[in-house]
Amino acid sequence: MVDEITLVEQLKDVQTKEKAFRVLITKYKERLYWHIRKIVISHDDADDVLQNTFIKIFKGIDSFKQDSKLYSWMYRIATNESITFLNKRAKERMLDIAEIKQDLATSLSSDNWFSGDEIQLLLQKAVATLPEKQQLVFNMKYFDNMKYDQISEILETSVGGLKASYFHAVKKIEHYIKTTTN
Amino acid sequence: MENNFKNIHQDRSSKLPKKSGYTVPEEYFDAVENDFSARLTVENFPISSGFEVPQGYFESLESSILSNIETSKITKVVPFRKKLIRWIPASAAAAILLFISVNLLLTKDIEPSSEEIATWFKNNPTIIPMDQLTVNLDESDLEGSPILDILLEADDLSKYLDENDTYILIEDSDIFPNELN
Repeated sequence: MVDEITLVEQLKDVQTKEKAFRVLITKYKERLYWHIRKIVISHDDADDVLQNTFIKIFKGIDSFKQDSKLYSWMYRIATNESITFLNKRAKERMLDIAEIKQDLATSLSSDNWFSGDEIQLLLQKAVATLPEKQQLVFNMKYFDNMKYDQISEILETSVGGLKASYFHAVKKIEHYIKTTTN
Repeated sequence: MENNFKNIHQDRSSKLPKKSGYTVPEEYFDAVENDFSARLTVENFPISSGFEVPQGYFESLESSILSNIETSKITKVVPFRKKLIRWIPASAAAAILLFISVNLLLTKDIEPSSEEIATWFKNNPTIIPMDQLTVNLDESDLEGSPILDILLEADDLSKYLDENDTYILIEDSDIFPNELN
């Protein structure tokens, strides 16, 4: 497996760019997809956002300065594209972003690509109520099982701040589930 | 023997550093309690998100991404002739607007004022006789004129002429040439 520095060099070289990009897609497509999916909820929307993310990565790789890990850079692009998508959807429907996230979570019960049980559905609805940062931290820590150092590099937030965000997110989810089931 | 061991131990201890050298991240202990609480709470959460993907989605993903990248690279090339055709209506409209604006600007400057018109007619009485000029006058043309307030009825006019000096009025012969003769 080619190391990251070599991969970036190949991505920046016109002769080897396409071949290296295929390697990049193979290596990171699933991780980026699931990260996006947890934000935008719907599979079709996640597919659109993922496509846009890879297009931006392809076009922007020459400006990648390697001051962070390649994956962190790509993850940031994916996060921004997901949030941009949600903002656009909210604007189209004249709702605020919190409302659109709730709408999307509620629609999971009739979504063909959601096979979760009642508690999983409840968890997704609870996560959708979280502020943006807390939602990102929770998804990355709990579902993606990422270490705080990795999350810190992606979200450009201190580890202490992330731990606090995660703690608050967990408590809010717990409260939501308890009040909804009671 | 025991004393020897104790002496050796004390001797070595005095040469060994007291601190272990281990460090922890900043604010680590502040977060320990919250970290532990969060960990306990999430033990009751479901592990999986419940999201699924269509069968074969990831296998076909690479080709669809590369296809989209190729599409995004293609920029439309519009032939110069077509560009020109598109621009003609806009250019024509702009030219017309410019012509109208310039025309208005020029005519505005030479339009005479009402005073200038009145002075011209006064200085050139024979060009258009006054009776022909006034035949189409109505009350709106005399608006603001003191005459309008006065000339209500012919009887009132006669009475007014008897009672007032006429030098301030316009020439009666100019307005009512038949009546005064």
